[in-house]
Amino acid sequence: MLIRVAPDDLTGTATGLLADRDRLLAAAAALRGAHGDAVHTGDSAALLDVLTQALETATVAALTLAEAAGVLGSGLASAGAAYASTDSAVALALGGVR
Amino acid sequence: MSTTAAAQLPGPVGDPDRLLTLARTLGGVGTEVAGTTLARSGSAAALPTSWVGPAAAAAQAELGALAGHVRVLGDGLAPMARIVLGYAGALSHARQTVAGLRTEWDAAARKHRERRTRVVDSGALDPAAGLAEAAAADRDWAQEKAHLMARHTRVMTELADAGRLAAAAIHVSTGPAFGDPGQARDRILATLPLTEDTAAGVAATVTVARWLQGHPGSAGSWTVAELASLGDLTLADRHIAQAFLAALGPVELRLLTGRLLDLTAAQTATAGPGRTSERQGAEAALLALATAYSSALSPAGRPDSAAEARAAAWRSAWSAAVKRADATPSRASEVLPLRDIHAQAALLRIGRAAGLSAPADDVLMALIPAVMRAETLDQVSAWHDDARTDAVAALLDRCRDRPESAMAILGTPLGSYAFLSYLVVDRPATVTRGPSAPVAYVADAMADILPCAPIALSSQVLAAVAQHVGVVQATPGPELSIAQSLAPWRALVAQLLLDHPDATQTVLLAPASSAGLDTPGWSEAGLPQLRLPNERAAARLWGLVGLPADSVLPWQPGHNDEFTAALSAACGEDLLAVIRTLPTNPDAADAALRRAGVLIGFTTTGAADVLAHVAQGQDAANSSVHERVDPVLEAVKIPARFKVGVPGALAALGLHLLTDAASSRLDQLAPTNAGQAAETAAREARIGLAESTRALAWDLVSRAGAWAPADDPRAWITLHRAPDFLDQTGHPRPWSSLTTAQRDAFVRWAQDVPSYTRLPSVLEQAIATGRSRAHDLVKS
Repeated sequence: MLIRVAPDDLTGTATGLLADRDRLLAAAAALRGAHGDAVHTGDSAALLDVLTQALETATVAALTLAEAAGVLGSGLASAGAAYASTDSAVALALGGVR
Repeated sequence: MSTTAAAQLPGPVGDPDRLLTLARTLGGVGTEVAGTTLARSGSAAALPTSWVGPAAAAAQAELGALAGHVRVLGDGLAPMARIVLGYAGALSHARQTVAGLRTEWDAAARKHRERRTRVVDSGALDPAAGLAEAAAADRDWAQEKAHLMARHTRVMTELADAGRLAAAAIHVSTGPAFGDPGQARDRILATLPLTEDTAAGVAATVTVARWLQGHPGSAGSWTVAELASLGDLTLADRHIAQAFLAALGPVELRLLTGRLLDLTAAQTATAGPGRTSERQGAEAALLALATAYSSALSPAGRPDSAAEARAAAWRSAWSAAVKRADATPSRASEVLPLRDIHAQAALLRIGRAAGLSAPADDVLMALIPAVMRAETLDQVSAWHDDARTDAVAALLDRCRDRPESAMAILGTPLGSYAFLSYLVVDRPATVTRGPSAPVAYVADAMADILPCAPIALSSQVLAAVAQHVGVVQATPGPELSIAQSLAPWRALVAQLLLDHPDATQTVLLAPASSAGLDTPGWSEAGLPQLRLPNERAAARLWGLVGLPADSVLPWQPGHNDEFTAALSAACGEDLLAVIRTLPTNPDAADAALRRAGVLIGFTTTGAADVLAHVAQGQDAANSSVHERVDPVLEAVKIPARFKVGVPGALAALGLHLLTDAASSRLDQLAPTNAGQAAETAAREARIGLAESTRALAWDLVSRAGAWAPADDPRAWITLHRAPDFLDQTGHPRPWSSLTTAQRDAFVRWAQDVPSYTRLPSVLEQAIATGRSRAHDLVKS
């Protein structure tokens, strides 16, 4: 299938995604560091448990979403840079050229 | 503050300042996440609309899901920050309150001590009053302590409640979003297939790399014992399989497969116990490789899914690598020990035998050019005769398994049924050795494939067969009759004629598209003597039904046995036998008669069309009608032996009526009116056919004896004292042999017998249907 790819558009989207990836990674790092503060909730074991779990979940989520933003951003960047002439080629770029 | 107060009124554990820091962190992170492009766009995130296609759709879906998740994450952090902030406030308040209580404790304690001091000081004056005052001071102090401790308990309880409320609020605001930490990643990835697939691929690459570290050197040098550890890899997993094949590459895969095939060759089977063990190990390793081959190259999901898009990309890269590795040798005489195509054919066949999934169509299609090249180059290779590496058989077997894929596979590499044309037309002349080299092998495979494949494929098979016959006839050298060159395909063509009369007739009468049919060889064969507008189509027709090549005109007895067999096969089952089941299975009899009727109507109408063209061609040439057309009419007559059988009689009926009428007409008309005469003859033949249909159906019922005991004709004749129209077996004699009186009696008897009243109409309707379909084809 022939496609009409606008490389600049794709590259712009890719750049935005990669920037988001970095911000999500920074968020994950901050969340991981926040675990040290969470232990100061004191006597409320319930709060400590749920807060710790929420922080861990949010950290994992931020890392996973950063990974996804990286995959998608890299794929789009590759597609935009290669300016593929067929959709399958773009799929190849998305899949990562091996 | 005294240690006693601290001990009696313990303060709440926790650091409000650290919690404030945490809240600020959460707020900051939430702001940061909410500020991402993804969170701002949310589920409305969109890729450039100028990009379309399956990959774009997959990327768009991924982007939308990702943006939604990011927004959920950001939205969850802000309330969590507020909750933590609130709890920090509660904690701070509790700490201050407890501090106040301790101060009060100390003050009360000091007051108590002072009262006791005063009691001691005054005790010498009035001991009794002193004791009473001391007791009162102690009582007051005890009450005060209890009061303070109660207040402390209340403060701590309130703080605990605040903690529980905060915990519940956090759970409510963030818990459902991504689940617990152990599930969060999987839950998110389940909605992000591109990312999930990438992550799985990365993990698989790591796993395979670790395995390969324990197996240094070329794959071709791995011992069978080493290969036993292939079981450690989950080769049924697509990502593991892809990582494994990618790490090996086509060349190493070929070397390894070739060596394992050597170890499992038949001649090594009886080489002793050690060899047996090695052979078993090699077979297990081959199965592992076939598993990897199947897993890596099978479709990964729906055609429009992201996983399949990525899998297709991987397969494309793999096929390109195979193509590079299997490049044509620089010298035509060079014969590789084992080609990549043979190695992959072996894995295909092993996988099929083990019930593994077939690789996707695109993988099989990519192999075809190499198959076509290798077959002619490797005639002297030992592998060429090894059924285990028979690539044609491997591909045809997969077509048998998946007939819906046959069109795509047989159509490759040019999308115009080039592989099918190769198998049917070119290959029989160029490939003389190898397990699947005989044409009959391909014909057998087609017989399995076509009943389940689209009708269009059947048409392509017929076209290829017709072309094959033409090419054989046009090739200089030992001359084969058309019947001989057609022989392997005759049963298949006959079956197609029965199953798909429309498609068959379309192919038979379609203008030839192959240049191979328009060669001088045809003139030498005599076929162009038919100067028709569609002479090549007619040549196909006559060639397929088996007229001898060296003398297509006129009819030569003894040369048309295959024609007889083909038409018999076309009529298929023994119609008479089926009609005998009429009392118990009327539907089967009706269906059989209907099929035969459609075939009669269709073929007679098609033949009439051809004859009309014959005559018109003669008109154009203004030549002798009888010299040219009569032999044609003669040629389509049916051998007497063939007319004996009931199916043959059915099929022959229309042709006889047609040719007889045409000959009669042509005797009376000038040569330049031959075309018109032929058309008139065709019309008359149709009328004659219609009139004869009823009598033919009656004769069939009579011969089958298909009536109920209550309708016994002998009893009826006796009862009505009617002329006897029965033969020695008690069945009515054929209609054509009856006298007028016998016919009258027969008709009176038969009009109350259901078989005689119903079957003629079934046959008539079926013939009309077949004729109508043929007319539709002519018009189109």
